[in-house]
Amino acid sequence: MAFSTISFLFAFLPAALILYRIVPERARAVILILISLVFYAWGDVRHLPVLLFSMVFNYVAGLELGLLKQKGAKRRAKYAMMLAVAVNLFLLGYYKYTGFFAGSLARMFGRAPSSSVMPLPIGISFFTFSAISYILDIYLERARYSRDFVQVAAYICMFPKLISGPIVQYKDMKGRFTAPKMTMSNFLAGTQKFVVGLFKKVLLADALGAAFAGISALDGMAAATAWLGMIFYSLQLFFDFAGYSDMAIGLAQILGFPIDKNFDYPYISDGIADFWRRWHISLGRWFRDYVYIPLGGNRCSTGRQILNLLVVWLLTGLWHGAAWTFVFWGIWHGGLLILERFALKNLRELIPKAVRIAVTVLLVFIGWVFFFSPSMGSALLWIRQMFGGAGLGIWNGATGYFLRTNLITLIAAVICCGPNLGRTVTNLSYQKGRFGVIISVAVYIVLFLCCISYIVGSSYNSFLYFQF
Amino acid sequence: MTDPRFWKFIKWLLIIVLAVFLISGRLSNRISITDFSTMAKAVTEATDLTPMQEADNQMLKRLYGLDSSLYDGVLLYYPTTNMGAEELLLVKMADTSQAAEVQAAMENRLATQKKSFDGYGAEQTAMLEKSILKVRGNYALFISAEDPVKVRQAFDRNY
Repeated sequence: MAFSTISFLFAFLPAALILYRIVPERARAVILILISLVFYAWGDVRHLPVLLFSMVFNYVAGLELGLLKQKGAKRRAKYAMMLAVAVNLFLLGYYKYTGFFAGSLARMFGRAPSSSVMPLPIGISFFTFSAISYILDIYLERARYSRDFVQVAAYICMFPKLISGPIVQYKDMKGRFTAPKMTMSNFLAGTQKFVVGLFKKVLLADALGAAFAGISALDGMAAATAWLGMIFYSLQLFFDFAGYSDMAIGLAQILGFPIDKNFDYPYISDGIADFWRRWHISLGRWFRDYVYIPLGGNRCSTGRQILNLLVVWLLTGLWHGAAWTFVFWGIWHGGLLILERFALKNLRELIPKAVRIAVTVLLVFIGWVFFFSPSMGSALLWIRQMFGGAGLGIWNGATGYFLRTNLITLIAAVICCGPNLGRTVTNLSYQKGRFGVIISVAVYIVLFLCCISYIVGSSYNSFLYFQF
Repeated sequence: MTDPRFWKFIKWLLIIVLAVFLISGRLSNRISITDFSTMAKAVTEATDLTPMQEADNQMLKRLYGLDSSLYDGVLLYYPTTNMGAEELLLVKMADTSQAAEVQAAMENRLATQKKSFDGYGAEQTAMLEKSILKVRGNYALFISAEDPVKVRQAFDRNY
């Protein structure tokens, strides 16, 4: 079930919140598990056993691991951790990568790849990484294992973050499920974040998505149209995922679980490293804490650091999808980071900040071409068309049409990429006293109503990150 | 239960349950990655489309109660005259949870057609009796024609 649907907003969410509110605090985690399972099963009940397995298996594996650690059986604990992580990765790989690797092997041996694959359980990449975080936090002694199944299960399956993150680490959530408190301030702040997220998704991302779909359907593109398509998709992806994250964080806060932000204005980054401190922050932290640092991180030779970075970025690419385009996209970012950190280290400070931001945005946007293209061939074709490869010139009628019909959305999206609008609203709320608060609340209510009327009047648009 | 060996035993038991679940799922739950256009070409080439005409979304709604915008692909051919029973519907679902709804729509349409010809259209009734309705993973096919088996074979080959 997606957050931006009428059934979620007016049926599931109110019912879930009322139920969660009326039960005693100690029973809330159990209710949270039950409503999360209903939320997950709503879309496709056939994948529910995969989620249930992840909850039960990791609880059991965590218990075994924790008890071995308690007894000081280091070697057995290491094997238990490795097996638990391997089972989690196998489950993820089975659904997500079997078709990709089997297809690649078949092509390598000149055979036609199978035309049927296993359907991907929604959110598997996210809840599997949460589960691995539980196991590794116990092994690395960042958190103690839990004897209480409810604590582990609620952490893995809590519905705000279940399908598309943020990938919250267990060490940051441990103990929070014992008696979660719902407070008025959390409710109001959470609702505010949720409405902002809904606005980003429904009014910006979906409109940008429609524009991008229109451009993608063209047989050939003038150079400017191809650039425009790339910009539309880059903005759509940001508002789609950041919107979902805002909604997830808002919902978690309403339920009594404050979660760190997942996006921090990534399109004003002045370098690739800066970009990854601002884009999908929870995933970056996960790879840093569970892959990069255990591999040696920065505390090793330059050669080893480069290798570590390449491993992390290859895995980051593969995490996003089972296709060579995602592998390339991961290596593209890894390569740029390596270049920035080692080759351009001193040059960076000589370049004005505005230029650094422009270059970063350009490189990130070009990376998204590989992200949205179904194959390497079509990605390269798109890039070729950005430089006039289609033979339709720099600008044609289609360019003017797509720019004209989406100009307001485009301007609104560009403004919303920066922090100024958000700051203005916050200042209005806090500095103008009671009048400012009334205006600010009115703005959020109007925004919510606009989103609802748009949802009612259009067909459902899924979230881009659901596919990962 | 403070003995890790107990939990190790339970863990292995769960791994066996997982293996059985995955193997059984692998045999039944696969979805096709064949393009809708490829599948549509294959099934339309396997039958004679002369007594049929292509439908738009409005006709799809009228005859089946389905909205084509909710699916990855829909192709409907319906009879050119009221006396025809030839029909072809191919649907590629956005996800397999839509299967029950699509199957019910196809069954309803078949029942309605049978009722329409009951008692006076012996040929049409015979054609509808041998019609094929098949839901497989993310694809659904309904074919009522002279030789529906050929269409089903084309469907299976390209799935």
